[in-house]
Amino acid sequence: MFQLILKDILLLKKTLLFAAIYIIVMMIFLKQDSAVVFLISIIAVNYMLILSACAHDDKNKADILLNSFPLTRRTVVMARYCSIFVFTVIAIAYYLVIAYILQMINPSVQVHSVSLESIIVALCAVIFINSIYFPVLFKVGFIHSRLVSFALFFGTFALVPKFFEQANHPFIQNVVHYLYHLSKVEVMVIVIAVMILLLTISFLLSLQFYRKREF
Amino acid sequence: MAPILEVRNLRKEFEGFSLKNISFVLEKGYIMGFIGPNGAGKSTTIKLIMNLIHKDEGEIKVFGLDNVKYEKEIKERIGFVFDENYFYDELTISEVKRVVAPFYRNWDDKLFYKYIKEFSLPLKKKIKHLSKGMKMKLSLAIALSHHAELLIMDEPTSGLDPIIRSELLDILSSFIQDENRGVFFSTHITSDLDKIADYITFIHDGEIIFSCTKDEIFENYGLVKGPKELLHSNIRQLLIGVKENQFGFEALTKDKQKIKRILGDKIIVDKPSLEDIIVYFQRGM
Repeated sequence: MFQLILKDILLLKKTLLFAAIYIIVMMIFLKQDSAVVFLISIIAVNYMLILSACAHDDKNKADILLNSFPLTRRTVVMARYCSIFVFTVIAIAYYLVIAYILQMINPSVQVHSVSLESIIVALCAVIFINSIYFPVLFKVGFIHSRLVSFALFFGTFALVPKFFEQANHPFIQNVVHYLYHLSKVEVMVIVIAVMILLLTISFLLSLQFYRKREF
Repeated sequence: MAPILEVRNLRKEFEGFSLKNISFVLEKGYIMGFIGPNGAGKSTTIKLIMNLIHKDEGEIKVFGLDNVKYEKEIKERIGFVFDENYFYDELTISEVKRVVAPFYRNWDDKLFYKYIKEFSLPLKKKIKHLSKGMKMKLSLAIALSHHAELLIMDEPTSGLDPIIRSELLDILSSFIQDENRGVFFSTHITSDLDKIADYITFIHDGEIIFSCTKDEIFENYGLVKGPKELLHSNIRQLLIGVKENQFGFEALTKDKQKIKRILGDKIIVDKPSLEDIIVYFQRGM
């Protein structure tokens, strides 16, 4: 499985360079709220890397190649899910290194100091997007699933402000009220449990779909 | 001892095409050519063996093991070469090796570099910059570097020049020196098989027409030429793909001894090539 992620990284050399430039541009031009810049950077870089990796696989008919090697379909699916975390770690590392360098060069650049909370929020966002996208990808293939990934990525950006607009909705108020009375650790445990559940359901669905696919 | 590849009553339905109960057996130590016109079901059969598509019915055994149940174990021992390049265009040969080698328990780095040198492959070059012949040789180098016992090749010679094709045939001949190995080789360039195949399996429109040794084919099949007056209905029954012109007829027969006994000196019976067999069957359908 490690080899499949290594394969993605070798294929994504150009995209990795582009992602670094993207974060620099975001930091320099969107200085007003740096916590949002961090979140957008991580989601966008993750989206970019996942989509490029899938595009390379599609272009090179990787399903035929990979399934001719002594690999199970489970390993192929699992590697794709693991790449969510690898790409997020790369995106966070990029952000930290670039933020450090930018502040060294020009201390007036406002940079969000990355906290554990903001990492968890970013991770939740990429898990949410990919947990919905991957079952569709494994069911219908890259070409037919592009619209879904596009809608998910831009939909997340469009829906988050809408969500905040609805902050007074009784359901949201109830949830906030409930969470307010919990400790920070308890909230984190709940969030992590929900994400693990989402990932597990998504993985099992993807595996089911991919096992039935014919190439 | 179990055959290296065994296909029994294999069925697969698609819209507009079906593989109808096909069966054949390849024993260890032999090269089997899998021939047939385009769209006859060659690639479908190979994809079924590799479990890239799912069978509707039947049984596929490789090394005596079910190809789905023991998929991973079997693929450890198979080397595959497909008609198009299925490696990542953007990677160099070195990078491909770095990714692929750990997939195989029996990967032999020394052997890989020996083949790279022998085939004059440039390690630092990206796959997309290799010629078709080089891509095929890379597939072959990878297939041979993990001590595969069975080579499965789908049209490996299509689009290659005669020199590279001849080199490939030499490599296959030396591969098969080890009697525990086998080669299953689909092609429509049948002259390649005239040179190296021991067994020929002929598929036409999803059905196996014959699967036997090359010698059996040439002992039984004949290209018959004679005057048109001989073409009575009982004679026509013995002929395949009859072609008539103003001078007479030409056709293929499955039983040249029988037709010789009936018609004697009135006809000429020549040895057909594998290509003739495909062409006459195609015409007769």
